[in-house]
Formats: sequence, C-alpha cells, structure tokens
Amino acid sequence: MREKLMEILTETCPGVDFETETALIDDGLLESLDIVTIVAEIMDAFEVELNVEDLVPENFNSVDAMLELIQSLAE
Amino acid sequence: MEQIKTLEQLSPLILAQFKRGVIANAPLSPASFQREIQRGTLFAQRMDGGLILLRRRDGFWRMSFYLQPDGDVTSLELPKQTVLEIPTRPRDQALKRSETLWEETGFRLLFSRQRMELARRSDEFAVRSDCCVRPAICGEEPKILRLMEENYDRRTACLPTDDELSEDVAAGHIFLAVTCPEGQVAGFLRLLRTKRIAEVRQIVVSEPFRGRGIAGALLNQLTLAEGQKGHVWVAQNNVAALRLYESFGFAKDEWTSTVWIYQ
Repeated sequence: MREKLMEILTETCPGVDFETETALIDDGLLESLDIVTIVAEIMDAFEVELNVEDLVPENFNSVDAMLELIQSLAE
Repeated sequence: MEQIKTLEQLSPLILAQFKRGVIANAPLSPASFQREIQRGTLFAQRMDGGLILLRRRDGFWRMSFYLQPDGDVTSLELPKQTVLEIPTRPRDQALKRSETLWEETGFRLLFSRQRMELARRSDEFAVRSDCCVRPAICGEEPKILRLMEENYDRRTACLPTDDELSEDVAAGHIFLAVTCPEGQVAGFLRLLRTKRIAEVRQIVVSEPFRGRGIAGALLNQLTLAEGQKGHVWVAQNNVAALRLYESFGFAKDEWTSTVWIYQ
C-alpha cells in the first residue's frame, strides 16, 4: 500500500521528499490543486470513498497520515 | 442551480468529481464550505463531467469548478458577474488549457497575477517616510473598510468579511500608516499569518498620500519568523508594486493566476 501511494505522490508532485516531510500541507509543499489529483488517484487505486470532511490538512500532511486515512476508509 | 444547505448534501456532489484526470481551480476546505453553508451563500450546478460551485457575494459570485477531461461546459447557466480565478504552476497544464474553454463560454480576462516569495528581506531596503506606522486597534475597522472600498474592486481583491476584519485587527495583522502630527490614516497593510507563511493580502496608500514612501513603511512591518516565508500576489501590470516587492527582497515564484469575469 505504501509503495503504491508513494508512486501516486511522486508522480503528482515530483521533487517533494515524501519520505521525510511531515507538514506537506502546512509547509505549502502540497497545494489544494494537488490534493484534488491525489484524492482522485487514491480513490481509484485503493477503491475507497472519502467524504468532504476528510479533506483536511491533517490527513495529507504526511505519507503516514494518508496511509492511516486510507486504512480507516478501507475498514 | 441548487443551494447547498448541508455538508451531507455537498459531499456526494464533490466526491463524484474525484476521478483520474479531474482538474479544479480553487478547492475549498471543509471549514470554508461549512462557513458558506451557514451564511446561505453556497450554490452548486451540475454539468456533464463536472461541477460548478458558486459563492454568493454582495453583487457578484465567486466560482470554483471541478472538470473531468470530457467535461462539457456548454450547458452551464451562470449568473452575471461571476468571477473566476485560475491559479497555475507550469506543471498544471490541463488547468491552464481550461482557460480557453471558459473564454469560449463567455468569460472575459480581467487581468493576471504573479505570486512572489520572500525568503529573506533585502539588507538594502530603506524606509523614507514621514508617516508613523502602528497596529490598527479595535474600532478602526470602518476606516480600513473605507480605504478598501475606495482602492479595490470587491469582485477580485479577496477582501475580508466584517468578521474576518475584526479578527485580523484583534490578532495584530493590520497596520495603519498615520500622518504626523495630523493623525490622518494614509494607508494600511493587511497580513495573513500561518505557521509557515506570512502573506501580504492588501496594501493600500490613499491617493493624496502616494509618492511619500508610505507603502515601503507599511511593508517594513512584514517580519518573518524562523522557517517562515513571505508571499504576495501582485497584478502583473502593477509595475510600481512589483518594483516595491523586489526591492524588499521578494522574487517571482512559479505561480501565476488569471482572473476572469462572466458578464
């Protein structure tokens, strides 16, 4: 799952150090335009459905936070 | 066009748009959606392969869109005075291409903006002004509002609501330039501060006071905390503002935007 997510992220935003960054949104490394692309890819790749309430910075600030979100939606 | 009254009503409309290849110009946060819903100002219009969200303002509308690669905008029925802003970086090519589509729909380009970033203030920036600059205090909001209305087009300037303005004053994010000793308000600076970003949202010098270094004196209030960057969006045809920001240490970054109106 992590590998697939990393593939989506590096394709969407090349040049960002997703392995170590923990404030992707807060630091402006991911913009709201990127989140739309990433969410579309996540929903397609992991067959999960998000809610508007899930589209908060806390869920997209790090790879771990995104994985946690995907896992919670898949359960 | 349907009014959105709850997040539950909005959620499926937006989620239906999250498909591979979708583009969006200004996605809002859940908190922003909630605020618009509470004010009764959020409306949606569905179309084949897309969704339009309209936020009602005093005499105009702000538009956000989600558009699929095969989205068809020809069936849209938009209200007059709809304002659309499309921010892009070089890699947002599909979003940039959508400008042609909106132009064909009847939108007219008003102007373009350039974002500038400040990593470190220039050591050579010098303030030469006879005005005093101080934080605005509670009760001075009407003076600031008047200056905003005199100097900005409400449709395109991202001006704060009355509540937001009061919050900004209370937070110390607004500075006034005041003539000495008359005490006349000659201009103001409004900042937006987050942990990582200090953004210049508006800077105004009233017409009779221009050419006296007041904009520089106001901008001089922009300080960066450790790890913080400065941002400002400037109209590309505002040569004087571009020069001022460059002299302060700002440099153009990769973001530009185009501002459109449907009349």
